[in-house]
Amino acid sequence: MGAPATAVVSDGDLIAQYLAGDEQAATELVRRHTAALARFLAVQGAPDDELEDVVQDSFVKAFRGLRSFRGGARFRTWLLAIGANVLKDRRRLWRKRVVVELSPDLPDRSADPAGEAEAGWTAARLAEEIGKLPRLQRGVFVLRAQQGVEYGEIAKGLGISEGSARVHFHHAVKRLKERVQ
Amino acid sequence: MNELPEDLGRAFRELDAWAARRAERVDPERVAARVLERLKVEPARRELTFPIRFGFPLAPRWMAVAAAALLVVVGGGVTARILHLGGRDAAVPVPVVAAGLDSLSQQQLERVLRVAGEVKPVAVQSAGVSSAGTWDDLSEQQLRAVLQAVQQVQGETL
Repeated sequence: MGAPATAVVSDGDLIAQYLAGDEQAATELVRRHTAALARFLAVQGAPDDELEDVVQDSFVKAFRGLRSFRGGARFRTWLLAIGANVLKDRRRLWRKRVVVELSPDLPDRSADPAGEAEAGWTAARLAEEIGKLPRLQRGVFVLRAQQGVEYGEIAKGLGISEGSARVHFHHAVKRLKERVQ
Repeated sequence: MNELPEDLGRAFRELDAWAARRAERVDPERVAARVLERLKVEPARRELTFPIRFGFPLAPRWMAVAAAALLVVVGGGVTARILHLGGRDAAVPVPVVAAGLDSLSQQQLERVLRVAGEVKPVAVQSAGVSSAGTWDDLSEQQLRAVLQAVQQVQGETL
């Protein structure tokens, strides 16, 4: 006999436990989704020094709104949608600042320095252009391209139709391709 | 992902790898501790939601606009009462603002709120508004005329 399988508690069960007063359930939800949320926000231009704050704000809003979470979308998609809203609000405060801070630690491709310089520049430029996309286009694009979320799920999370999600993605790709090249 | 054109896909993977490294610096344990602390310490605001379509909390900006609209309704009633009590013949009763504002954009509504917040109990006769109806009866153009008149009158009285 092999080792007993560890039962993985679903997000839905953790939510129910948290609503019943179990703080450990909230901690587990944060552990599960922090990395994805932070990555989702970072790729949209959340500044390094405020990334953790935006993550925190998103979780606080999510936990306060949990009673209204009806499970139409997965918890993660719902959380990312909240994160996108928090980021949007913060973005207003950052308007006079450089939103995208170019990272000094883009991958080192010493074998092909010219290629690296070009790739690094394009990635940095892409980050800037993603930040300039309209809110829904940006949300749909990152959910799809980064998180691999299905269009139906994106539609539920953002409160739009599936067809609309596809159109937003298409426009985002078209716009980014034009701007970055 | 293969839905992206090759060049864009390569740039996005590069960017995503960079984002993932930044995300690694966010400590989930620290986030969890602070979130739980904030949930206990910070006063809980009631998060309004669109229950069916959206299912996530409304942006605070909309809540602020909704609250401001409520103030206009109440303020309009009070202003109308003050005008009537003043007994001025020239004063046109200001009707209570209601559904007529629905057709305005957010920007227009904010302009209305700004003006309404500064209204003084003076006549707006020059706007040529019928005293019999409500804001519902006014076209957008008429409403603009009222606002301009209010601003003009206010400018004259200062």
